[in-house]
Amino acid sequence: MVVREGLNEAAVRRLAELWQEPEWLQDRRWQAWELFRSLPLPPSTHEAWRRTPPERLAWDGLSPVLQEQGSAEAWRAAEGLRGEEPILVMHNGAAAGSAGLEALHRAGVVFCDLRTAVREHADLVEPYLFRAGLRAEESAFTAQHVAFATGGVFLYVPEGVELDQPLVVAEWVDGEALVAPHTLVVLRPHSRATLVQRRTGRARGLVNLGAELVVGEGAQLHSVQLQDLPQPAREFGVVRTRVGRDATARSLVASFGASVEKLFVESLLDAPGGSSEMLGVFFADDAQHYDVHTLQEHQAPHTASDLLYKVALLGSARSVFAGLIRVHQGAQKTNAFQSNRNLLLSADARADSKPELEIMANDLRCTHGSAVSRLEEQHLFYLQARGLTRQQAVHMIVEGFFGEVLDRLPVERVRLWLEQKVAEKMGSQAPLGRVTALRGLLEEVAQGR
Amino acid sequence: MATNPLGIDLDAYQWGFRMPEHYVFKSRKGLSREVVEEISYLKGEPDWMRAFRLHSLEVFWKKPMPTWGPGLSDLDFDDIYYYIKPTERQVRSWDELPQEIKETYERLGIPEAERKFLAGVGAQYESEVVYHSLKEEWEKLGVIFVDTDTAVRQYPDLVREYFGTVVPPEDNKFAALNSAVWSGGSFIYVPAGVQVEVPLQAYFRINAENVGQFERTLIIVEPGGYVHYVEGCTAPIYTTDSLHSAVVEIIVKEGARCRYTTIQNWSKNVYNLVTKRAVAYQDATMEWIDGNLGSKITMKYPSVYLVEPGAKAEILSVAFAGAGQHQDPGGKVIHAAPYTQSSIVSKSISKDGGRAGYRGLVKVYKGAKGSKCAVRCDALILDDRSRSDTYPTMEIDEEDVQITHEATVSKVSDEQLFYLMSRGIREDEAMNMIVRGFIEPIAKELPLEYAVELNRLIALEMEGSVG
Amino acid sequence: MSGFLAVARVEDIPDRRGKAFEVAGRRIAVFNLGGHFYAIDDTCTHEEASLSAGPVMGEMAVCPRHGSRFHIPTGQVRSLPAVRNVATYAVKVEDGLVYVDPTPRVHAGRIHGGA
Repeated sequence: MVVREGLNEAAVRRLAELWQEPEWLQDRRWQAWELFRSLPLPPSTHEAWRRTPPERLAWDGLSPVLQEQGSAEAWRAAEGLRGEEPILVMHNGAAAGSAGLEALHRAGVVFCDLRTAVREHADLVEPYLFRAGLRAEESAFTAQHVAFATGGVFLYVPEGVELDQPLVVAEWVDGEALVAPHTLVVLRPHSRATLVQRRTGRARGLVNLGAELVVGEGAQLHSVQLQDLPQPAREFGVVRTRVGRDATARSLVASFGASVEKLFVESLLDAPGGSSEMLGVFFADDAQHYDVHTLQEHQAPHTASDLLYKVALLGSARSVFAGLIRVHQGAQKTNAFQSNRNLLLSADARADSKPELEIMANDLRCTHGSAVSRLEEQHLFYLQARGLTRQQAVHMIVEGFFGEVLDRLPVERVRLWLEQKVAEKMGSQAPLGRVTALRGLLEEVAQGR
Repeated sequence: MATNPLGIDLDAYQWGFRMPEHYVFKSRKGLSREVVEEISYLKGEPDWMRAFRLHSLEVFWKKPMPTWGPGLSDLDFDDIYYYIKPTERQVRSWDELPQEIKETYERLGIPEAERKFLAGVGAQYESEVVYHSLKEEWEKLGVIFVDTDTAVRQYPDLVREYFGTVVPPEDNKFAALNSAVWSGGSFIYVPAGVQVEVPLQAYFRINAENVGQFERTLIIVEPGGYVHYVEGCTAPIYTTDSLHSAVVEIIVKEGARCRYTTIQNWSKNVYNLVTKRAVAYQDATMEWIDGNLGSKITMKYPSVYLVEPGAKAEILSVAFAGAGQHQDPGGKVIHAAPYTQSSIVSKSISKDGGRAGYRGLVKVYKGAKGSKCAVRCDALILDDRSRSDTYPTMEIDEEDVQITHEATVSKVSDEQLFYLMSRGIREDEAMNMIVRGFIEPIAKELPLEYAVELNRLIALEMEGSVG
Repeated sequence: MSGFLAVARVEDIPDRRGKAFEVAGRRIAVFNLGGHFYAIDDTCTHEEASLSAGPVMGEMAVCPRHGSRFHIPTGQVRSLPAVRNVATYAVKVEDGLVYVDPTPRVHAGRIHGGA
């Protein structure tokens, strides 16, 4: 048995009480607890963990957060992300407030915190939660996620309901603790939704994130996951999307914060006609360490996936991208693309890239590409010759680098927020792209990239 | 305390097994200290090599099996002959060969004498004459080209200085195994400034143990030298051995160039687990041209360590996997110095349930400024039961670099086929042409006779692939 | 900054063995070759592995992971897959104590000599 102080039976019981959860969920939690007690950390010799020793995500001395209700601080922190759209504000997995949900309710949409959902919409939640995309038995980390699930968000969109406005979740995470928020999205056939989630706060512990996104037949989901935790925080996460027949899933994962992040972002295409776009923006500095695994799993014919992950590194930051395209036998007429681009902005940065293909069908088109490069002195020179400082020139090139991804975003405010984060990392006040006089230059650089 | 250059303690292996004077070696299965001692004794080796073997055996026993890549669980180390005396190898007669091997030789148009040689039937044939005339040429220039056993006896200082310094026994389990029981292989020494114009081919060495399970090849190219070594042959090599595990070590010094060409076509019962590694010094060039058609499982990742400025590496890899085959070839380039360049091109074809692909590593050490590397992998899957895998890894520790990797997997497009067929070309021939075009970038790098044979071989493998 | 720091008693490091110490923020391995003490970086320059955890063979520290050899007196790599030398450190023995000066010194030299 593995001794795991702080993460004990009493804590599991307390969480189950906080949730006032039904028996079926308690069963899942306690099964996960048994697994958590017996599963060792993955060995650092394991290929998936070789570049990020699991010890870096250890939970020694941490207890699970037992947040009863959200705080006003969480609400205030959400301001920057608020607009007209429906919003849920969460604090360590507990609801801290909401706005603009009335119209959703009238349409039969359920958009609420997960604790409420398991009590009031058990019939909708039970078939999917910790089943559809993430299972406790995968590893010590997923077992931990389920056993100590602290709360989260549930979105259910009924058949045929199309939501034009994006739905926003502002998640505030604080304290030196284990926080395990969960997201469950169920889009019934021919529905449509956009979900924007942002994690921010004053966390100093470990965030163990899980997301299960189920996109039904002919449905369309656009999901955006923004991670902006402070640097002492560490994060492990699994984001898994199931893409149904003729369904479309588009996702963006963007990370700026945390000292260590280990993410598994996966799209499972198990019915014909499914299509998945996977975008990634990762910008690390100082000694930040990002390790991202992606999976494009084609299990059915006539499926398509297109992945573009961009990574920029400053300081002594390190990134690992390990992306796999797997096309199963019989998954003919598959189109799968994967591209990973890494931009090294400092002499001490380090990028590893492992783009992998496992192809068991023959009638398909599948490509991947990967590149690691530095700033082109020519470009810098060109921009400086037009009056920019070197720092501005670098900033402009980085904006151009990420622009290819940001231009594909559906929500203007999210794009602005991302540009602002890029500016902050570059030590600038504001994104350069907003300075009209510089737009033309930016386009010229973008064309040369 | 006496040691060899790898630090192996000779005294520690002094008290070992000693052969009785009139000992008759009988080949037997399995691996033990005694078997290793016997091999060394029969070869009349110096103490340091015996110590190296015994040390390696202990390393082999301790090293775990690889946990990645093709499954090797059917490999039974106790069911393998680790050494067979050359005379025993050669008693096999032409008539004993399986019919399909004989037929393949005939269809490839390989001369009878060479066929016998390939089949392991010890025989003299016309290239002996060629060999001798070339040999005189080389010797005048100071080039050494002998089997490695002979080299240990005739050039002990040279062998001792380099042996095991590129691939130490601890590197991996199969390198350790080879280090313990190696036999045969080529030793090549090219003095400074000498350009060996004619490719050196393994099968010229008719007196040696040519086709070994555990070959050990060592090539040293002194500054400004050039050599092209061609290992094996394109014809299928018949063997009853189930395991082939070679180690190849190459040292390419300043401004020198070495090209190493292999077209591997072991019979389809063989596990082919090979460690090939070269180190290239300032402005030196190392080129691996590696074709894999035979064997049951091949794991082979020729690598180049670019350790001084201006060093270059080129790796070309072709793999063809048919029924029951798993080809897991690839390449590794380590950029450990500034302004080093490399390129890797891989082409793989899978068919009839076969599995082929690419596994590779590009590593750039900090300080290897201005390094450039381009990797290109293309796979063709000819039916819906076959599989292709691409596993590249890039570890980049230096900012000032240009590293790119691209891979595609596709089928033979209907448009291509339609185009060719509309010009009156039969479907099977059209398919053949497309596959030939696919591997053309590598075939054109082969010596002519090999390119011709490669094309014929692929045509043979392609038979029956069309409806 | 330089200066000798005591790391161990002589009898703590048996003949033909190595032992690693944290000295001024560096992991340094001290080896005993027939009563002569030498100090080199403990971490192999190839992949993360502790040289003091591997065997000492002749004058070589052998990396336990992939067999790279480092010549203990000079820190020079003598066998791939490592390609970079490790630093050496000055050592002195006084009153039965082993002292190490944690100022790294890297020797030139390559695996295979020139012609």
